[in-house]
Amino acid sequence: MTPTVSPEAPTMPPPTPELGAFFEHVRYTNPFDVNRVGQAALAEADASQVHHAAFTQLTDLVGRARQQPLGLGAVLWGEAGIGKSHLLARLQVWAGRDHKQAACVYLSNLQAAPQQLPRSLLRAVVSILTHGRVNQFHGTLLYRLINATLRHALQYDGSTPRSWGEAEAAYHELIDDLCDRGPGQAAFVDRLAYAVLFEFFRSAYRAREADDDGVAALAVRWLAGDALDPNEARALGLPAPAGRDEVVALADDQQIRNVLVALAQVASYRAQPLVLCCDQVDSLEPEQFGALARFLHGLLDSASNLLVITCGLRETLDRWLNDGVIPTSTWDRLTQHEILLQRISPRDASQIVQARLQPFQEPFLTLEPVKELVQKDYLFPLGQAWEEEYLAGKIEVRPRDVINWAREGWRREQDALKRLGGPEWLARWSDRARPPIKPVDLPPEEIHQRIDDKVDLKLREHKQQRQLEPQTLPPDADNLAGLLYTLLQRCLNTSEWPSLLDVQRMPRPRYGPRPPYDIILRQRLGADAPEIRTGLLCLVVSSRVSMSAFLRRLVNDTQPPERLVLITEERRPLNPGPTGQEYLDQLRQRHGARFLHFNLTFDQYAELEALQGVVGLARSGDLEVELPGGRPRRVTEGEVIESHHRRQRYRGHPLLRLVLEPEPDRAAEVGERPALAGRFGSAPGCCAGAEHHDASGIPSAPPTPPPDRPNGFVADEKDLREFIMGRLAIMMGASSHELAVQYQDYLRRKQVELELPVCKARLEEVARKMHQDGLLHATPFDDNLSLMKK
Amino acid sequence: MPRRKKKDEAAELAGRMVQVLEAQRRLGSDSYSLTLRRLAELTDPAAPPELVRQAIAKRKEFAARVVAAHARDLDAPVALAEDVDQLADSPLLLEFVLNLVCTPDRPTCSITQLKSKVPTKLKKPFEAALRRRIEENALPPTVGVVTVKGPRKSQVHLHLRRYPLPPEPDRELAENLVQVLRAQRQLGGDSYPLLLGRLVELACPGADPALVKQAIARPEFQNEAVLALKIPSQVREVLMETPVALASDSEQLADSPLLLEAALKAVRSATKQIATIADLKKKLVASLQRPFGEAVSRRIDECSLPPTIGCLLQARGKHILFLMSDVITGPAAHSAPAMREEARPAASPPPAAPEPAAPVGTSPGFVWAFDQAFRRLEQRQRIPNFVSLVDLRRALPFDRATFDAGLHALRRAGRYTLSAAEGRYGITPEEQEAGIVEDGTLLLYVSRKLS
Repeated sequence: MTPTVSPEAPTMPPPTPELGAFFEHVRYTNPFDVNRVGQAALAEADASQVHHAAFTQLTDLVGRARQQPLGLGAVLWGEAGIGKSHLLARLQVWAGRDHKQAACVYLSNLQAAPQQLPRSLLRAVVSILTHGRVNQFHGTLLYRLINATLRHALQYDGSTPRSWGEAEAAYHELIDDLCDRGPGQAAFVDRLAYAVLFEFFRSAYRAREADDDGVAALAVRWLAGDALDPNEARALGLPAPAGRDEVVALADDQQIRNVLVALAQVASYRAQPLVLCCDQVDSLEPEQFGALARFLHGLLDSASNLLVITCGLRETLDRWLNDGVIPTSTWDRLTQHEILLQRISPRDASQIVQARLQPFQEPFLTLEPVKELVQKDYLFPLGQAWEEEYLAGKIEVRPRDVINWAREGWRREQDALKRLGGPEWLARWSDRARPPIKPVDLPPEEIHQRIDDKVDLKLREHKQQRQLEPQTLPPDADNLAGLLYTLLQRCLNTSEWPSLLDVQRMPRPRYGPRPPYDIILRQRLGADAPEIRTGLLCLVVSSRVSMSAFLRRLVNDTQPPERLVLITEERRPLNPGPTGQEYLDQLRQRHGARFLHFNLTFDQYAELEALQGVVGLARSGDLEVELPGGRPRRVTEGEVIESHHRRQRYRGHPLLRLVLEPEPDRAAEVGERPALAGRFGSAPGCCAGAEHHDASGIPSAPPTPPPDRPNGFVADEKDLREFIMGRLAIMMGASSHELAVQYQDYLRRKQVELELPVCKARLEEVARKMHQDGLLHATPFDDNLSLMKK
Repeated sequence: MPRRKKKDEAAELAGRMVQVLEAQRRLGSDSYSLTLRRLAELTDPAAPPELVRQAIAKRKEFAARVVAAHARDLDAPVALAEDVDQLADSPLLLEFVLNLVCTPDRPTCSITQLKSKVPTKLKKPFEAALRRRIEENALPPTVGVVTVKGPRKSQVHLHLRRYPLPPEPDRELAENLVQVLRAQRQLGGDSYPLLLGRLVELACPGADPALVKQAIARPEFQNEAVLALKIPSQVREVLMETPVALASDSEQLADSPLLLEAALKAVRSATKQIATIADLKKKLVASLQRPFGEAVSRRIDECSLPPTIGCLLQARGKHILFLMSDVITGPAAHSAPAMREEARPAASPPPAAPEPAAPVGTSPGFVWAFDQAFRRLEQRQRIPNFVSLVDLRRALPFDRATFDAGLHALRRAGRYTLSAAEGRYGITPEEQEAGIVEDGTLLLYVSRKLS
């Protein structure tokens, strides 16, 4: 159905702002709400002079990485809230959306077991380079890198078209040259990896004009370390495995490293180094970091055109170094270049505030009263009085504190605006007395409450971030299993789960078959009840042969646990071939009602990951609650876990509940496909329809059903996109809450009544898509999105 | 179904380690200089150390093919057997062996001691390579060589530079004197130039005069500073009354009232208290004689002699100079010696309100001591520019108020910065006590402020 375009839709040119709009803007959008910029969205809005030397050092290193025969290691450190993630975000902005300066890959919150971390890292890198797509790869960074490689190989000037044969020959010649460069170079040139990259490009290129043969998707799976069936391997031109029941995949860490070496190498032909930004490494377990560091060390010694930036707290890394978690040689390699961030001066702090205010003020400078006040006080509507109150007498401050204080000051203005009404607030703004915000000590219950609320907001924020960038959370059984293990361990020895006796991770041997389960749980449901065991398997594979092998191992288990929970992910659904189906039937028969299959949606995966992500934030010192008076109070890792238990967040997640509450009636959930809560079209008032898949492989929401359509108006996605672009054209930036209020009003004028939460859910869903389309910048904060015009 | 023969994982790993070693050799000397641990990491980063040890012990697959500096230590350098000479000459081997022998308490060792730590087949080539490196001054940058005086003869010893050698007290004092001299220069005014006695008092109160003599004779001092008076007598009093300045400030020293006064004191005796400019110049080191003469003449012409010095014009335009304190007058003038005593820089306390060059609110003594302590503590850390307040408070003999005020002034001057207690492993009561709370945050670590 083609939606009709409403003639009243707010299209260009944008309307001139009015004072009323300004008051609304002040009231609903606080430019200081985002105090942690982990992604690129807000980074360019902030003062560029702050940490300028460190930033220059980073960009210089990027430049140097291009010229070095081996990779460069750099460490970026400083205390929490000092701006480490912000600097990495600025680096990404500098690299450009098209990665013109560098192919930047931002990695954080890796959860896989130490021995699986290299594969998990590769999976994340490939997912980011291919935007998490399963088709339509021609716009991806990986495509561009190989395109540049081929242009280089062909010395292509665009004058005459070249055949695929010529391209392939030139490409292989290029690889031969690589091997000849140095006696040791050949050891790290994995011809298979280069051949797969070529097949990826050829398939993606052809898919632009003709039908997609699916080879590019197979190539991406192989490059990401996933298994391919023999027929899939043949389609990709890989040597078929010896046995019919065997799969083709990167065998070990050496091959994984070689793929990364190849990726760095192809990036060099686009004159861009591959930059791996490993943020918040201090939130990993020591063994995980040890494994990651060793792998990165080997990678740095093997790859050229590579910069690895490790980012974390000095105190934690120092401790690990002293404890021998990281070998000294590895440490020296990773910290070859040190970039230290320190507290900033009050003058720099003012610059940060001013830089955040500027885009807020700018659209309203056409309004005489606003212009007058801005000319009089460059920090309007925060005011220089705020600066005096918070910054006077200070020697140095953390950027995060400055933002928090500005947010407090802004909230005070919002309260005054609400109390006095817009015109009076404006009239009295200059001489209105502002009572100082006094520090007040809170009782423990109140602090708990604040921690709980803050953790709730951060969980939503974390989930929103993954929804905005789904490629940063690729389907990954290792990561999922590691995550589940960590979360289940937190439920051990707690009053909430007294029945849980033990959580055991089944280690994967270096050689020989892997165990049938990822995790085994022991539970006793009553004092006299027998002990039961639950086996968990994260089955996140595309290969049917591989899937069969997993299921066969379960069937062949001679001492199976009483319960079996099979976890799949919606991007890799349970889709066995005939043999696999037979095994599946046998399993169902064996376990009966105690066989459970849970198909995890992306949102549920993101929620699960958020539970641990917020713990990671606390570990890195990045989680704070604000006490009255703008004082930060750091929330510890233990406090977050306590809060999870207090708010029953583990029980609240359907997968954890299913695993931890083994009632017989749980069988009803077998094969349940959970609702796409929160996704566009699933909010109250909308109905779920047939499943669609977008390029990322995540089932997308059905087309928006029109609500009411008086006068032929259809409040569809197109209309909403136009509304958002129109608003941002006027305001440069706004919170999703503010836009939702305006959207509700906009719909009301069209005689369409929708609740504010529905408006907000829809608006955020569309904004996320627009962010992925590169139309705007979205940054999650608390339970909102901060939206900025690009 | 027939049972498959069980894989020997260690043997497999050993075989692959040799392959990787060969590959590293092809990469060139930088990559080929590696330890057993690194080799294992490159081969299989996830291989447990026990398996690696088993692999190393495999005679056929590994031990026969390679030579390692130590059979069980994973940090031992390794090479292919045919490259034994290359391994013997590698800086990695030298550092490894030094690590085995040297400790912070006993930082140096002889070649014989080192040789005893390498396997037999390496001993000869190792010694030869080491002696050649010493002779050609080609030791790795991390390794130093010193001559140690033995009971009968001196012996060449080697040491790892990261372990500080037992300090040479005269050298240390010489360096400290120069550093304090620089700090005083920043203060300016009456604080610089100064008498050597005052400099010693600031740098190392109570230093043994014999040590001071050794220190000022050291190149570390001689190259940086200039002592104004010739010191033929080596008498302590004369030595300590000698004005001193940085060599680059000779002009300033020549023109200083302090020097004029010191020269007059050096010249005067119980029977003669007057001197001509030429007499005074004779007491000075050669490099200062001409500028000193010019400066005194100018001061006489401009009537700008210091108030403690008098001058009379004699026949043929000759001037005689004297100390005002030597002038015998009536009772009204009796306060003069006391006045002079007060004006002596050596007796004056550090200025209460320092000149702008020093951080406002702190004494030069604190600044110097803080800098020293910070540097010393930083050298002990593995992570640079990150020193805990716990250690700094322990290292500095100042009460809390003085320490906090001094640090505050240093921060305000942009010299140092603080950062919060940040790790996830909690804060000890000692750290809690040593930290400084600002805006509700416990600041615990000190770093030099970067620009």
